[in-house]
Order: sequence, then structure tokens, then C-alpha cells
Amino acid sequence: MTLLDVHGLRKVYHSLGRPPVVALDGLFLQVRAGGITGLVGESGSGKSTTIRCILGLDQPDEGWIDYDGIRLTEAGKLERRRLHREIQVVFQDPTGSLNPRMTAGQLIGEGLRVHRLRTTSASLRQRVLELMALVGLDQRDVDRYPRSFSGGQRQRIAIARALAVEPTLLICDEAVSALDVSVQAQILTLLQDMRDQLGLTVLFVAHDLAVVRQICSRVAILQAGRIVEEGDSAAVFAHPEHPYTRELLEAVPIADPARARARAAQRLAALSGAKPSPQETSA
Amino acid sequence: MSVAATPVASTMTDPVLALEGLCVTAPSANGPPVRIVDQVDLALYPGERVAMVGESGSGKSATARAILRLDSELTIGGRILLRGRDLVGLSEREMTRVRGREVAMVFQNPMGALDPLMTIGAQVAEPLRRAGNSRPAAWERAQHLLSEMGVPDAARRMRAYPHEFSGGMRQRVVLAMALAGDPAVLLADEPTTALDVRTQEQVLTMLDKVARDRHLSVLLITHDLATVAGFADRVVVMYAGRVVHTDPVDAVFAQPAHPYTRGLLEALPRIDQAVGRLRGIEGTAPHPADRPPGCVFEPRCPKRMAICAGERPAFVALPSGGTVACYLFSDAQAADPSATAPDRPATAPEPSAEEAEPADALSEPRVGE
Repeated sequence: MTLLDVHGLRKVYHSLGRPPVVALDGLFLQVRAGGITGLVGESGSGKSTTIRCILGLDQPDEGWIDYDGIRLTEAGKLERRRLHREIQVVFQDPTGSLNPRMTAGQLIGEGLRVHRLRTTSASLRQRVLELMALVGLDQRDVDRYPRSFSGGQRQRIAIARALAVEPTLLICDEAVSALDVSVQAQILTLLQDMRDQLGLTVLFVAHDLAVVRQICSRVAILQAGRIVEEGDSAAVFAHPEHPYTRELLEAVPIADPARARARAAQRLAALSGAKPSPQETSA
Repeated sequence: MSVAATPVASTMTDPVLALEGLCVTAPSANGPPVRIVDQVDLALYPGERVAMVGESGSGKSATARAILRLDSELTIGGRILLRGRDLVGLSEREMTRVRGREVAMVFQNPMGALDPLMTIGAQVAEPLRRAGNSRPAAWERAQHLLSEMGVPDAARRMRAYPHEFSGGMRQRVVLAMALAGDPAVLLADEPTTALDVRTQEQVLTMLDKVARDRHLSVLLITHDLATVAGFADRVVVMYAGRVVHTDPVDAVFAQPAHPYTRGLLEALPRIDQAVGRLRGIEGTAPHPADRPPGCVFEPRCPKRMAICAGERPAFVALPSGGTVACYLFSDAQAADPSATAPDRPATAPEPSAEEAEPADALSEPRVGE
């Protein structure tokens, strides 16, 4: 079942004295319920604009977005309220998205209060503690401020905050890009667990193909405001059809010294216009 | 570094750069000074590429910055030998002659290294002018350097400003500036981390080329093990301000000796193989102010034993030619107390830093997130 259907989105940004920027140029994207869909693109490809349009932070010039039968671009006030609960987002930089004057508990519980999902302070606190346990935070830290947490822990707060209101769709905007690999692995595993245990649907926007391959069941490749390739993640990574996808895949570092060296030698040879010699591969 | 000193890429010569027991101490606003780099030994041979890996806060950048003494508020202990000459005692004036001319550095954020109000040409020519070249000669050499780094149409682009360059092009400019002084050693601190994957590959290939052409010794600092697989000869793994493992690159990936190195690799999503769930490493790294008294990785180590919490493990030579500080590999040679002598020969194992830890041993390690 398609939970989110992005249809022919077009968005042009105008600024004075500069040529207009076509951020989205007819973008089609479908996100299936209960899975993790990867949206991959380099900087400037339109990833952030797509997210801004889905969240209603920007209005597309053309096209529409359907979420669970609701047309987002025409949603009324009541529907918006529901959408603000059901669609949650986790950004790349947790430091920028967490109010430094609020404690972890207040941050995680804010959505519950706003949407009146817990009305007594005892039940609110109870739910906050549950969420902290869910994302692997120490419950004793509930009254601490964001500054006393590490980057990975802050990202967990951001995730707990997003999950608090029991969203149907979680959008991760480069949510693990700034994290160390060990923390990144923990967060990725957490997302897999949330999908399996809560049936959460995730739109995972990232530039790191290795990460996308790790957790996404479907993947869409975005280039210059359009999807150039979309499909089952295993199939796309095994047999990329579009030249751009192939180019991206070939640039991903391989964690295998022998193969990585062979590829480095090829690139070096391409750079100097000579053919690689076999000896070069053992540089 | 000690037994690991066998260089992979070069013949047995003297290292161009050697760190011996490097300690970097930072003042702390409330409390005693914090040792952010603790007894690091490292040798970099002519033409060798060493990758220094570790997570944020492990002391990688602090080590590299200490070599050039970029932070005046930090106290540096131990020895930094550049072709046998100790940099630690040099005056600031003498260091100015080392920076750029003997050891150069590039950083993750090229915008931080570029003056937004100066043209690219003027910035690349500046170190050349300072080296005594005439204005036209410096300009011409700058143009040559930029072309060499793959900046297309360099003559025209030299009149442009940094904001008119893309991230990848800026990194090439910074590389050209770093190489203007014709250094023997290049310290590259996460030079490709902020770039898109294709640009990352291009910049790394460029670095590969110039390192080869100029027989540069490169210390590449990164948190991403995959990036270094095809570039480095040797990998140095840092954790909580210490080196815990060093090995030729093939050994690191084929048989990661240290449990932390293994953990890093298992946490790495890979493009060439699929696993259901990444393993990761439980918990978080200790703050340098409260390192555990024994092995720094002990609180998080899946293979910890009783002995690990006791004393800091000494370095043990591995068959691969590397060294590892881990009790899983302890042998009689490593337990030899003579190994702690300060003026050890280059073939001795690492010293255990028993007396170096009084401040660190005071507090309990923090366990878990």
C-alpha cells in the first residue's frame, strides 16, 4: 500500500539578480507503508526541497502530494493538525533542532502535550520514560539538558521526540550522516527495530549509498530535481540501470583494500590518461 | 612506531616524521588539565601513507594539530621528530618555517582556510611570495599548481573568489596552497568528509596522484575506514586519546586484531556486502578526563577479561607487522619491564604508561549510553 504519493512536483526558487533555480523538476515518488524507502541524491539534487514540500514548509509550484488519502497541498486546518502528528521528521543536526533550554524529558514530551495525547503529568512522564528506554537512552538523564548529551544521544532524543506522537511516517533527513560509525550503526538498527515492532514507515533521505543499502527496502535516486531510477533496493544496487546511479555506486568507497586499490589505480590512470599497469594495483 | 615500524611502501629508512610519547594537554575551566592525546607513538616513512582512524574525540585531529603546534593554549609533551629534529622545543618563529615548507596540512572545511575577500590566485600565490618569489613568478607557479590539482581553466579561475568555487574545487585550491611550499609531509584532516561521494572520490584520487608524483608522506585522518582502504599503506587506530592498534591496511580489514578495530568494521555499512543488522559498539567512548585505568576500551569491549581493568596493556607485535595494545595478544616479550625505558630502541615494544595516569585513574569510567 502506498502511504505517500508524490506526483509531478515542481519547485522553482527565485532570487533577485540571479537565474531561477529549478529545485524540483517533475518529481514522482511513492513511499510504501511499513518499509524504509531511501531517497538518495547529492547536494543540490532537491532532497531538502522534497522534504520541505512534504512537511508543508514550502508550497510546490506544480504537482501534488497525497498522504493516506489526504491531499497535502490542499489540506485544511483540522487535517493539518492530524498530519503534524502523523508525519514526523528527524534532521541531520540534533543540536540545531533541540531547544537548549528544555530538558530531554520536556523535549520528548512536548508533542504529547501539544497533541493532548497524555493529559496528566504522571502519565506524560511515564510515556517519556518508556520512549527513552525504547531509543536506548538512560532514564536517569530525563532532566538533563541537550548540551550534556553526546551527538549520538541527542539524535536519540530527536528520534524519541519524533516517535512520541506515534507517527505513521518518519522522515529522516540525513539523520545519521553526522554521527560516528558506531553510533550510526546503533541508530540504523534502532530504525530497523521501529519498522519491525511498530510498523513504522520511513522515508530515509541520505547521500550515503552504503547506509541506504543497509536499511532501505526501496530506493529512489534523485538527480537535478527528478527521480532517475527507482526500485527494489537489492535490485537497484545489484543492477543499476541509469548511468548516474552507476556513477554514484562506483564512487562509493569499498572497504576491501585489494578491490579499493585496483579501483584507485584505474582512476589514477584515467586521470593521467594512461592505461593502468597491473603493478599499479598494489600501490 | 616500535615494532610496527616496518614500512609497507618504502624500504627500511629513517622515518621522516616520528612521534614519541606525544601528549597533548588542554586546560580545563573547572578542574585539572585534560590530557586529550596520551602517549602517542607514530612513525611516518618517506612516501608512506598512514591513515589515522577513530571516532570523534579520539584525539586524531589533536595529534595532527600538535605536530604543527596550531593551538597555542595546549601543552605538548613527548617528542615530535621531523627528520630527527625535535619540533617540541622550537620557537614560534622557527615553527613558521616548518609549517607549509616541511609539513603542510589541509582541513575538512576549506572555507575556513580560505580568505573570502582574496582571489584564489592571490591566496595560492601568497605562500610563494613569502618564500621569496617575485610577483609574476609566484603567480605563474600558483597557476601551475592549480592546473596540477585539476582546476580547469586555472588562469581565469585564479581571479575568482572562494565563494565562486564548489566544495570539491575549494578542496583542490587548499591542496594547491598546501603544496606550494613543497612540503615532505602532508597532514590531511578529513579532507573529503564534507563532500559528495563523487567529488570525494575525485579529491582522493587527486591526493593519491600528487602524493605519488611528489613522493609525499601523508597522514590521512578520517573516521571512515572505507575511504582509506584503497589509499593507505598502514592504519593507526586511535581511541580515547591513545593509539590502540596499528597494522598494514590489508591486515586491518582481513583480520582486525583489536576488538575496537573489529567493532569499527562491523559498524560500517558496506556497499559490497549485505548484513541484516549492523553490530555496532555498545556504549560511548570515555571522556579523556576519565579514562579507565586499564585498557581504555575495556568498558565497551565484548571480549573484556578481568586483567583488562587493571593496568594499561602494552603493545604486542603481531605477525602481520603491526602492533596492538590488547591483553588478548599478550606475550612474554610485551611484559618485559625494560620496554618502559624512555630511550627505547626503535624495535622495542611500546611502554606501558603506568605512571602517566594518576589523574585519569581517579574517576570511574562511564559505562553505556
